[in-house]
Amino acid sequence: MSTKSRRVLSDGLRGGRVGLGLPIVFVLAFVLTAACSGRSRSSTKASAEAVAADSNRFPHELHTGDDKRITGYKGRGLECKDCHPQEDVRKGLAPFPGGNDHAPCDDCHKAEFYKPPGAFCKNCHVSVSLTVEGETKMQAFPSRGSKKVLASNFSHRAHLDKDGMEAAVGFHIGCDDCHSRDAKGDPVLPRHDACVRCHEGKAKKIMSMSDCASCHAQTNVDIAQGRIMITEGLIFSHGDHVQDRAGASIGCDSCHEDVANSSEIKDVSIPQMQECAKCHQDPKRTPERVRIAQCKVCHEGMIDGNTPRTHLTGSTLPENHNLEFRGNHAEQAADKNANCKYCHENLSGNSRDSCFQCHEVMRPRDHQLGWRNENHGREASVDRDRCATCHQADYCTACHSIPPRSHQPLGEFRLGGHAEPARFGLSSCLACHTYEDTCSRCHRGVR
Amino acid sequence: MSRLGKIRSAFAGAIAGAVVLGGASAALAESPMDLRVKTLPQRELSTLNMRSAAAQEASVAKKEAPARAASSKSKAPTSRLEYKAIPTEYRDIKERVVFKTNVGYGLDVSQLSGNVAQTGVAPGDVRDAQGNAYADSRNYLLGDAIIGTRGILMPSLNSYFLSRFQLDSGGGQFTAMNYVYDSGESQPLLIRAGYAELEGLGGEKGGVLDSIYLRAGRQYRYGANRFVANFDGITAAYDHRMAEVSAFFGQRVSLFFNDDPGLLAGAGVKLRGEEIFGYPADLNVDFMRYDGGGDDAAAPLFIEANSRARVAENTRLYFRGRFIDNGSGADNASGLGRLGGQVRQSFGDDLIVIADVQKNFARELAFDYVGSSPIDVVNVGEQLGLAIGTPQNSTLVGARANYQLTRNFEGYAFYRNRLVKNAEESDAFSRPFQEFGLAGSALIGSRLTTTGQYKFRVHDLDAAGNAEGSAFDDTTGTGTKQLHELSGEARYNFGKKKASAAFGGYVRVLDIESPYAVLDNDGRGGVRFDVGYWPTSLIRLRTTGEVAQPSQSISADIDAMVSLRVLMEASF
Repeated sequence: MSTKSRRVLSDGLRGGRVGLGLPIVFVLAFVLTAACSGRSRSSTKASAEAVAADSNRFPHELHTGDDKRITGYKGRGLECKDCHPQEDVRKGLAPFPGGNDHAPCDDCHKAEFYKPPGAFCKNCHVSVSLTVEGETKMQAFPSRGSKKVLASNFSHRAHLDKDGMEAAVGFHIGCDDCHSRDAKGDPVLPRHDACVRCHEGKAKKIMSMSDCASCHAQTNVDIAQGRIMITEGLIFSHGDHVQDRAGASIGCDSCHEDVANSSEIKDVSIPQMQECAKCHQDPKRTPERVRIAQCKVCHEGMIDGNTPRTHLTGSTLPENHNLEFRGNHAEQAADKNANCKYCHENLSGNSRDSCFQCHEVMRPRDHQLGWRNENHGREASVDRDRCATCHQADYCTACHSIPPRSHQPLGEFRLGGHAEPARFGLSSCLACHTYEDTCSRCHRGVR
Repeated sequence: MSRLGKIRSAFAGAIAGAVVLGGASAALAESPMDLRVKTLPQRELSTLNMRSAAAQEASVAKKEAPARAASSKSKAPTSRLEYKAIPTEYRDIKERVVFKTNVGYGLDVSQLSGNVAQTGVAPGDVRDAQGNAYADSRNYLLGDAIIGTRGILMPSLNSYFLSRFQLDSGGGQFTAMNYVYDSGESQPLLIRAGYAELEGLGGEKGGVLDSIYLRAGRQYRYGANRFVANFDGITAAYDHRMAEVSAFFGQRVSLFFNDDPGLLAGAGVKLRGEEIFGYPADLNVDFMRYDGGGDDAAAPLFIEANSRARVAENTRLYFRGRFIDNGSGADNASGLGRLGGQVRQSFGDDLIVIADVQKNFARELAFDYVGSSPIDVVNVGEQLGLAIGTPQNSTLVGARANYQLTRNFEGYAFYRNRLVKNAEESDAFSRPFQEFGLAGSALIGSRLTTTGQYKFRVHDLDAAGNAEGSAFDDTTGTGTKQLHELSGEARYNFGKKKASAAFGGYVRVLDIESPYAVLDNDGRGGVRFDVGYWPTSLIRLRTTGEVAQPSQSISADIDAMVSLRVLMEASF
């Protein structure tokens, strides 16, 4: 708003003197407002049409495709090196394009650079400030979870093939030749400078550093993650995995078994927990404090408890599930921190209910046919508590109230048929009958 | 102010408002776009080291902060930590819903041998009271279904439902063994549990409202001393990290006799010493009263307590006790029902030794709180019930040791001894006994697990109880004198949720004695198998089978009993 406009408005408000100027100002303000708004709308629309909607990430696929504007760039087509300076690539630096006053982006997108900062800028910048130096920040090229947009053809198998490497470059390599270590001893992902050592030398004829497409030929590759469940941040340090408890060195292939057979980048997966368990369940290789049952060692936010089956080798049970535990685990199952649910899928996870939720659907192994027919009474007589864990008295009564096979036909059994079974095992009779309610009707009190 | 002046003022105000709005609109239109990225990209990986939990949380917080600050026009992105009332993603559903069902077909067969039973009658020649001939087979549909939810609709709302069913599709009730489903009022479908619960009523995490716990429906309650109640009712608790106070009330669940199952009510307190005073010890106290159901039923009352403490790094102590009023009205009806303790000592990683002692008093429960009296006759004259023996003053001492001999082999030994104070007053169900056993388990390779167990038990029968002139109902000399039991199983696992096969067997040899007969070395045994195959990780096809050879002295009238079950299990 102009100074004059402000003065007229303030005068008008102060003195209540409104002359002809006011309607003019009103009309002007309306027209200007509409014009500004309209310009802004059309500008935004134009920006949105000019760049990909998914604009917080540089759209590689639009710049490597068959669009004529790409294939016809400078009459030769747009090449990787147009955006990624080759010298930076060879040095292993992050070769972001556009560092030279937005060249070469402005070759094609010149009009966008004359507009106010908008969606287009978000392709490369987190924020843009035209006034404060240093506030215009680049954004990192964002990962898309397990998806690699321009994935390399890298083959671990080829690079770990000693004979092949000897033939090609005259030496063979190990993991550390590419995965150098940081200050903490953790290996880092190799950058292009690791490739340069061979691919600008003896291996140049196999694959040259200047031929980007020979390695980065794949698009949108899904990298297998190899994980089922991580409920808390995983703590792991390669630097702590140099030697085991016995002092033996831990090779990379101890955990990354499949790497030597991996011929594509998507084959490379993070080791399954069973791989960890091979050592972390072995007292000879790991001390108790880092045994796999100690959840906190890897999962910072978790309490100790039984180890999930996914963390175990083969068919082995958790370490504390020994023979004694299998018969006596009431205390552990009722503990507030019990982790039974991790393996026993039918459990709700509430330790108040662990007992019935398992025992109502899982029979003890000794409850076979023979148990039902002849044996359960003998066991009940020595441990009634065990029965009462699952069965109320009316469960017992439900069966015991039905005359058993031996009592048929009931008339004959009452008359004399019961004598022999009773002589053999009076205690069986007294599981359902009492002397007072049954026997005393006919029998004297003594034998 | 004149009328014209008022009009002028109003006009000027309208213009000012329009100009201000217009200016604001113009300013809005001219301002740069909101360039804040709603979801910050993951940082580029430069190392193979994994983030710590703290770093991850910080990252998530940082990720969400701009979203929260964004204008109301822009909707915050959905983070994996954001609560959704209805889970829509597979992983979210899997974490919040428990579903498991077994549906199958069962066939039990017990062929007659043609021999007469001890009664002098062959079952094949007779009919039962309803006129049914002996059925040598029985087939049925069986299964169970479980569905549980956590945090659906409301973050603190959970539910759980568990049912079992057995539906006869053929055969009769005059068979080798009784079935619980044949009893008077039992239904083919048994609802074992079905409840909804609120774990917290909102408010600050760890606050008063957040610590309140409510549950309503068919549920179980476990007391401090192996005490289980199944009831339809409500439980309310205040569950603080230091202590839990709870109360419950409801009607007992009786799945088989529903006339008057009775009401029960109780309360409990749990104190967590680790949280209160930093010492690893817990104390649980439970109180319950059961009205017994029916007009003249006993109304027992229990107060139970247990406590556990870790007195040293490898030593744990447990104490447990039960005060009882068994409701009989007798002079000694109230007092201690049981008192016991346990010490659990670990020696290194490989050896655990447990010693147990428990003193039971004569007023103790005969079975559970429902069968609190020794005789639980349901309806004398029409149907009989369970008449388990009268509890005696006795002490049970025992010890167990588990030794991990090698990484793949462990051994286990156990011993129990029941000492009865006035053994001459006991009966066949409460005689003194000693039991000793050995067990072993070996993992062969990484997939084959074998276990085996031998158990020997000897009962101290009273010869005087068998003497001529002894009381007719004196069973102190009756019953099992010795038991040898040998059992084993081998299980091969083809991989997690791929396939498994198990094969096992057992042999029991008994010496039995009564006033009229002595039977030595009476053997019986059986084998069983269990084969499972997962066509997908959610479905298991399972076949189990058993063959049991009964005692040829006691059950000479039947041949081997065979059971076969084919099941499909789906779990999620």
